[in-house]
Formats: sequence, C-alpha cells, structure tokens
Amino acid sequence: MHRLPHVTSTWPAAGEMATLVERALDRDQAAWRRLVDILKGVAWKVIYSFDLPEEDRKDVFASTFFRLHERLATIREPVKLPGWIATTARNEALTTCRARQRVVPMDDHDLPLGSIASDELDEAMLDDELSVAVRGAVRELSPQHQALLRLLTAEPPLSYDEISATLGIPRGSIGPIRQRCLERLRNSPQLAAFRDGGNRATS
Amino acid sequence: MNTSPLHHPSDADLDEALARSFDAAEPVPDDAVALAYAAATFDDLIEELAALAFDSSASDALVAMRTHQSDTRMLSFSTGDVTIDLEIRHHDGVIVGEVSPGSVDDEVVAEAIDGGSVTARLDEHGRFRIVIHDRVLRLRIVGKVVTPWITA
Repeated sequence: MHRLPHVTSTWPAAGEMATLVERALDRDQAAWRRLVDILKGVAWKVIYSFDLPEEDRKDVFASTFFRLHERLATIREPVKLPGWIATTARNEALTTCRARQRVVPMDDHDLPLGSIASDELDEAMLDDELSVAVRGAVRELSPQHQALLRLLTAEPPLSYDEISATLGIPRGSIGPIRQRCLERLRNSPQLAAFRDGGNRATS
Repeated sequence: MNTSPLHHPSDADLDEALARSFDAAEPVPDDAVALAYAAATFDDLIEELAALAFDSSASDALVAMRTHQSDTRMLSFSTGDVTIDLEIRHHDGVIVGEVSPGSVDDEVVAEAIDGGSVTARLDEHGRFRIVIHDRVLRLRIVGKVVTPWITA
C-alpha cells in the first residue's frame, strides 16, 4: 500500500469501520453520518474528476451513497470501503455521463474526465502562496493527470491498485507519472514566477 | 508568511500544497452531503429493514463500460422471513414485484426520496405492479418490511 507523506492516520481502524457498518444497519443514524463523513472526500474527488456540471456531480454523489446504503448488508470487508466507494462513484459518474449522451469511450485509458475550470477564483479560497501557485500549475496538466494527483490526495488514502481501477492507469505507471507531474509543477511558470521573484528581490 | 518552500519545493511540500489546494478549491458541497445523510432516514418506520440479497446490476458493474446497460434491473431483498423480488424497468418506470409471503391484505407503497409515493395492493400471489419515475425510491410493505433506498 502506497501512502503519501501528508496522509495522517486520523482515519478509523478496520474494527471501527466494521462497527459503524453494523450500527448503521441497526438504523443508527449517527453511525451512518459518520460513515458518510469518512467516505465523502474520496467519493467527491472521484466524481470531481469527471466532465460533469456541478449539479450532476451532486446527483452522482448522492446516488453513490444511496448505493452504499442499499448494499450495506453485503459489505464483507468494511476496511475496503474507500476503494468500494471510489469504484461506485466512478460507475455512477459514467452512468450519468452516458445519460447526458456525452461520448463514453470503450477504452479505460480515455475516460470522460474533466479539466479544472480556468475561471475559478482560487486565490480567495487558498490561504498560502504555494497552494495558489500549485493550483494554477495543476490546471495546465491533462485531465487524466489532474485526476491522478487529485486521487493521490484522497483521505482515507486509496491504494495504487484502487487508483488504477478507478482511472484505468496501469498500476506500475502511477509512481512514474506522479514523479513527472511533480517535476512539471516544480518547473511550471506559476512556481517559477515565485522563484524568479525571489531571485530578483535578492539580486 | 514563510515563503521559502516556493523556491525549492520538495515532493513533500508539493504533496501538501496539492492536498490543501484540492480540499480548499473543491470542497464537498453541503447540500450533497445532506442528501447522502438522508439515505439513512428511517423516521419512525415500524417496518423491518430488508437487506439486499441479489442485484443484477452488481454482477456486471465492473464491465459496464463495455456492455450495453440493461434496461431492466432485478433486485431481491430479504429480512429472513419476507422476501421482495423486484424488476425495475428504466425506460417507463414500471416496477413489477413479488412479496413472499404476501396476501391481498398487504399494501405496498413506493416512496420517492422527494416525498412522492404510489400505493398498490398485492394480488393473491403476492404480486404488484407500480409505475413511478423517480430515480431514488424505497418500497414499504406496510407494517412489515421496508427496503433501503434504491437507486433505480
């Protein structure tokens, strides 16, 4: 299991996940809400990667959790729920893309992924310069690489196998692609602007 | 603000900045989360919650991209004592079902998540037919069984 350095282990242990599933099946609403709270980030990151308008994304998000609820009794390994929710979110997003008659290719390597909108106002939402610069640089990457970086920041973390299954990127390519993406970010005009600015200031 | 990471950001710096920027710029919408919470709204239901026992859409979920999606979804729910078999037709919203054991005294209500509902009585074989066009619904066999919310 590959994990990113930033990931902290604030996520419930396997035993707690199993208990939450059991309690949710017992109609314990607080347990269900906790499950949603644990898994919502993973689901949203998958759904956000698809070429869908915001309203459709919300519908896909809701139906992903309705699927989880309807299948709760069939979940054998609660510890695998993050991967399960990623797969389900992906399938629900594809169903919606199909319903919207977007072109849904036959090939896993060409999912209908979307690109970060170019007109968003990140600066208002991001409170540090590096994040703003990184956001600007990520926007220049391909939709597939944007999606990969997005899923690599999911919490609870997804394994490379789970990311591979979600995005159709071969497992062995994930590490090298990530490295290339980080290198591109590092050398991007957005980050270089800061570097050059710093150099000018000291020269 | 300490701007030193800008000059020579390490992989870890970039990972952290990526996580922060995705989380801050793409937050999960509150109204979508509220809908997800609502999947487990049991209100004051007295019926027993039936568990999914079979789903035709699950078997081909992983190859759905390559196959033409079937128009009909077959589902089966069970409490152990009562079984509900459903056939949901997507194109015209027809739900044909069979409850066993079920009798002509039993009432079945198809409830949509937005509050609408359609009621029918079981026939002598425990069968029913309902037309409902909502995408998210649940079925109640009044006083006996309720299914989880189903995404039709």
